[in-house]
Amino acid sequence: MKLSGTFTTQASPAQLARLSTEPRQLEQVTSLRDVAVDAHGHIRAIFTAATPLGAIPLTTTIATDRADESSSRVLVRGTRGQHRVDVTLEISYQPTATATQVSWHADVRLGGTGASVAQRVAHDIARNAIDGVLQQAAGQHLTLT
Amino acid sequence: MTMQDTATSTWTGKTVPRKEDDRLLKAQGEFGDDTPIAHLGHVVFVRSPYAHARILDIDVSAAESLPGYLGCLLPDEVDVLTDGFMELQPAPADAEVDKCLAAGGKVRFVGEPVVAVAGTSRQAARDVAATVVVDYEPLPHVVDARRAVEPEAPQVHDEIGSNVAWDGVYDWGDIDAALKSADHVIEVDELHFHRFSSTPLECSVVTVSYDAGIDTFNLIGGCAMPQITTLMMAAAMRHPAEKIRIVSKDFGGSFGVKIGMYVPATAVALLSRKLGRPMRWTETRTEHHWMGGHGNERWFHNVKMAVTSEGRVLGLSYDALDDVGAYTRYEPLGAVIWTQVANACYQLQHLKVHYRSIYTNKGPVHPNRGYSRLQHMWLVERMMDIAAHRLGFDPVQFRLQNYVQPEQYPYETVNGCVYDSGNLPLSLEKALDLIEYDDARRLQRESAGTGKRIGIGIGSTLDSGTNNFGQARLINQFLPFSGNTEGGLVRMGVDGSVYTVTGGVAFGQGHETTVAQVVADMLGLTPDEIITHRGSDSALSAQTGFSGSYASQFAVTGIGAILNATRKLVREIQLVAASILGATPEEIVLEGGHALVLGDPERALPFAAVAGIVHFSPADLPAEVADEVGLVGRAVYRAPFEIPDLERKRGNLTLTYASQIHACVLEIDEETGEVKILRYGMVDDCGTPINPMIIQGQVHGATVHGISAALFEHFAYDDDGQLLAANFYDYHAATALDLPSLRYDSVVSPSPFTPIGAKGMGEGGGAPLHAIAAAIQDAVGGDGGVVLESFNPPERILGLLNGGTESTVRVLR
Amino acid sequence: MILPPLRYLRPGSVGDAVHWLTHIDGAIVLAGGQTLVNALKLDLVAPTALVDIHRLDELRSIAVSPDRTLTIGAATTYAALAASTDVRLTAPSVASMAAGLVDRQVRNRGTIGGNVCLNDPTNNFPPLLVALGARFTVLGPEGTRTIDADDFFVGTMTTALGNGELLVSIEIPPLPRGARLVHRHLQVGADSWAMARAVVRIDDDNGVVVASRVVVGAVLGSPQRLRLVERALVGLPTGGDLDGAAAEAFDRESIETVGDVHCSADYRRQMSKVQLRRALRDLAKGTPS
Ligand SMILES: Cc1cc2nc3c(=O)[nH]c(=O)nc-3n(C[C@H](O)[C@H](O)[C@H](O)COP(=O)(O)OP(=O)(O)OC[C@H]3O[C@@H](n4cnc5c(N)ncnc54)[C@H](O)[C@@H]3O)c2cc1C
Repeated sequence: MKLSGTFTTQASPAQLARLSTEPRQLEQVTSLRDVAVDAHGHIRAIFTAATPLGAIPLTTTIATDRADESSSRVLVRGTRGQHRVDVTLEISYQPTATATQVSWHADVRLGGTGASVAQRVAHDIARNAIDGVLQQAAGQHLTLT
Repeated sequence: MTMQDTATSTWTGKTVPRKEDDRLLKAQGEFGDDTPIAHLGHVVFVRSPYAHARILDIDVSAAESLPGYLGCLLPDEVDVLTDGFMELQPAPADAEVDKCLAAGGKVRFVGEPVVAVAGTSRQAARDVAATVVVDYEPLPHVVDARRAVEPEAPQVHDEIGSNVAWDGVYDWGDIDAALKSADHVIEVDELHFHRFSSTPLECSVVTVSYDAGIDTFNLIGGCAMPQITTLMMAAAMRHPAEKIRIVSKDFGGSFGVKIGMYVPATAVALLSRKLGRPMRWTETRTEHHWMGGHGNERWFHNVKMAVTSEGRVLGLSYDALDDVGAYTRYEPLGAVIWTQVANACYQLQHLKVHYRSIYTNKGPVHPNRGYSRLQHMWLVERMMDIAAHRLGFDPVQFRLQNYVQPEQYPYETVNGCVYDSGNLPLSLEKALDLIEYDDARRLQRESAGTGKRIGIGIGSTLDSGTNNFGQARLINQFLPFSGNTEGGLVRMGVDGSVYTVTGGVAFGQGHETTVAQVVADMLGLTPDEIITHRGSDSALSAQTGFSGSYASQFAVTGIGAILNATRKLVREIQLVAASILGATPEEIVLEGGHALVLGDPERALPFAAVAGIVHFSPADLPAEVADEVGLVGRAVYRAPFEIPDLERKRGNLTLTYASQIHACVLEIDEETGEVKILRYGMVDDCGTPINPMIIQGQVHGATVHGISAALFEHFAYDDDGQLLAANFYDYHAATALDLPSLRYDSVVSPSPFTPIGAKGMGEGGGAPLHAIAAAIQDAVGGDGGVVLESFNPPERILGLLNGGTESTVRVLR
Repeated sequence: MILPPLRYLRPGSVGDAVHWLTHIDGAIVLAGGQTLVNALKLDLVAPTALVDIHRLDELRSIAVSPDRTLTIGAATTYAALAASTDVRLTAPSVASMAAGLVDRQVRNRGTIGGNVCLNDPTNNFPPLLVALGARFTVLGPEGTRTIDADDFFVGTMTTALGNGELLVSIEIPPLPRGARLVHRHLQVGADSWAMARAVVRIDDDNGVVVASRVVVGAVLGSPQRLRLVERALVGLPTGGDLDGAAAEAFDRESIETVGDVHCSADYRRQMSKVQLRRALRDLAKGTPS
């Protein structure tokens, strides 16, 4: 499933490029909790997607594959019981006169039961979840630094 | 043997209400999850979310602190405790390693069990399972058999060296010459038979209590093939088979797929022994869809059919890729089972098939209603239909002309199978009457221009029953199997009541009723007076190695064994009564619960007295009678088979051939491709009926399943190897709302080869898949596409209306 | 049935329900449970508490006001809607939708409130209620507010309901004289998922379309109003070529669909158009609303 989105933020590309490796910033994102760095230097956190049927808490690993001031590539893996989601996220940062335009492209692969029962709705839920986390993380960065 | 074998036919052949329905309707049945067991632990499997991945790490440490956690079983332990399950295929694919948890550090399909955890309740076990962390490194996977045979395809089993589990050529007659000389040759590049299954109402449930004192595993659960299951488990666990007991009680359907039960049962057994308490695994629907057993998916390539100008079909050839999923399990038996019906319903003279069984990263296939034959018969019937349409033959006449004719029975097929009896032309005539054929053609003409199109289709199939297991040698000459047997046991209790046990395991077919009918006739009792054992118990000595319910055979093997066993009991009763009444055993007849002297009804002994004397007063009997009589008849039915000719791949592979001729009228919506079935007729011929109502029930069930498979049921995988119909949310099994009222008729062609002329018939041949494909083709007409798929959802039908598949179908001459 | 550990709460009033929903982090409403219980069983979601509203009489009333506005309590079951004379007389499309939904078991338990609050793209009621111009009364920690259908449905499985808010009732205003409404859908089998759904409403004044609502379901962001189609219809004679005008406008709409095991995204889109066309033909034929 290929998803994408764009938004603008006041954070600079340099700040944005560091986001996926800084647990302190990610901790401020409301849908993330228990943020920690594991032995491989990856970030581990509980990410909670909100749906009308209740929260979907996913044990998540965030690995930054590559990051510089123009773009980063982040691999996210979420698991919960017999469900799994793997996301390859490409984020690019484009400075504008007053802000930074962030565009992201995600390849989202569902595994297990979720791949079947969520096949018609995962598209929108994932798009909103990714966009939400990125926007909040980008916004939080400002309040912290 | 004939009908006279039973003393009377008061009950055999009659519609008698089913004995088992009373308890089932009152919710007094005992299914897998119902049996109360003290101190029971519950097992939940942690399963792979990936189609193919290396297992990097398994962390169960979080489980230890959870309430209700009992313990777990890991792949490393399984590696030490068990050998791989027995494989049927020869080298090189016999290198496949199949264990009850993912073997060799890899997972090979979504839903494959990786860890088994146990808890004090199902909830606890599930919560524990959720905390188990398995780290995977996803590997390239292959979900399409056509890709799996390419040289650079990912390997499902590294140790084999390719994804081919079995490869062989069947070549009977001389198809090359026929194709060269025939007036007409039709060629189709590719046809596809899709993946679906039977989705029994009750998923699998296995309870295992390991009795340490006598080192014995006691299993309770619906087991379709108890002795083979025992053998598989015994060999894998290096444990004596006689220290594994399998009990089945009520059993909510198998249709073949539960033959794979030995895999999870082994994990449950190991856990029970490890943790020292009884363990139960209750499969969820999603688990069942992932690995409860799919039907064989098959690709047919380079299909060629030779036809004469008068419309006589000479034969055909094709290459098959059979997608067996990630493990062979009962496969590659499918590679030979289809040859039981090599000719389908037709007088073919030449047939050549290059057949390969292919591994993919999908759920393993298991035998499923119509196992492996329906794929081949669908192909033949589809080709008959395509040929008729393309060459301008009337589809009815074309079939009638090519059917095996009534006077040709017993009919020998291209590969030496013997079709026992039948009347296909009469069956077709009756099927067409059921759908009011001429009137349907009128409806069809009138539908032109209304936005709806009407199509009429015929499905001709056989349900071959009672296997000759010798055919296994055709896929692997070293397999030590041949023939077929079933066991049965009939005994008289201390008060004269009669108890019967069959080796066959009923899962809804009404065995208790049909057994009671035939035994009642032999003993001169009523079916109500016959006590029938519910389910099966490997400890009761009623079973043989082949015992079980599969391959459409109970009416032959199960009933045959019960008749033989009853005959022994009858003989003992005669001996006892004769000595007490002063007659010869031959003079004793059984009637109304008495043994009496023929022609002298005053000299009679009630069964209670017979039993009383044998059990409590043997001194009343002459010593030679008392020594011989135990009032237990235990007998085997042996199907008369020889080992096939392995060189020529010839031989009689099944004993009986029930036939199903179906006809349907359906309507297609031109804008959406939706199908509505307007009329559906089914004509069944399964020889001498034992209970016509039960037969009709089986026919209805098989028909509904076939219709549902043709239109709705599909185990589709996406490119990531994820199953998209992982439960009933998206696996639509037809309901009454989707179906027309089904019209039934029958033809009776007794089998000359079986104890009472009956034939196995429970599987049905999948005729609806053929009939519906043909009817869609008929509706789409000459200017549209050709139906090349067994599964036809609305979108595909819309595509056919818009043409499209033309170029892959050619009339060469 | 296996459920994750959670609290089960049965409030005595809507006030209690809102109180719990507001103060218990992760608490959600349980209505008919026809979707929620399945999701729990599959371990898809992890609410901390279920606030079971299905027995609250306040949420199960059906009332018709003098101006013929129909007010339905959120916990009214489909079966109750189908059986209600008031509903059949004032909003027959609601009654027939409820009567034809899935199967008896689901109709006996499932509620109209659950149906719209879930807002699954395949659900039957959201597009219909948009076409009817329904209003949703919501009680939350801040009090009561009323939301128009156009604003209530926000996207796939998303509504305007905020934290702690409970849908109390749905008001369906009477259709103006001369208005007609038709619902059409294409499903998998007789009782499974919708592959396409269209609801068309036309307000006719003296033989001319004066207003219209055209809503499709089973698309991304369902229910989606097709404003271009609506505009194309307005001003046309009701007996005219609504079909042609709609088809042309439909092609200019931006409609996103997804493929699933039953059909492709493309087919879904194409079928939306077919359902729309059929609804318009029904209207032309005068099929009653
Ligand atoms: C086999 C099957 C087939 C189905 N097919 C269809 C179909 O074709 N079309 C269709 O429309 N539906 C279908 N459904 C779904 C069914 O209509 C559900 O009943 C409906 O979607 C949810 O209603 P419910 O009352 O069961 O809600 P629940 O499952 O109890 O709840 C659904 C969601 O709504 C929330 N909720 C419920 N009530 C309120 C409220 N008053 N305020 C705030 N939030 C609330 C819950 O918190 C939950 O998130 C099907 C269901 C099944 C089991």
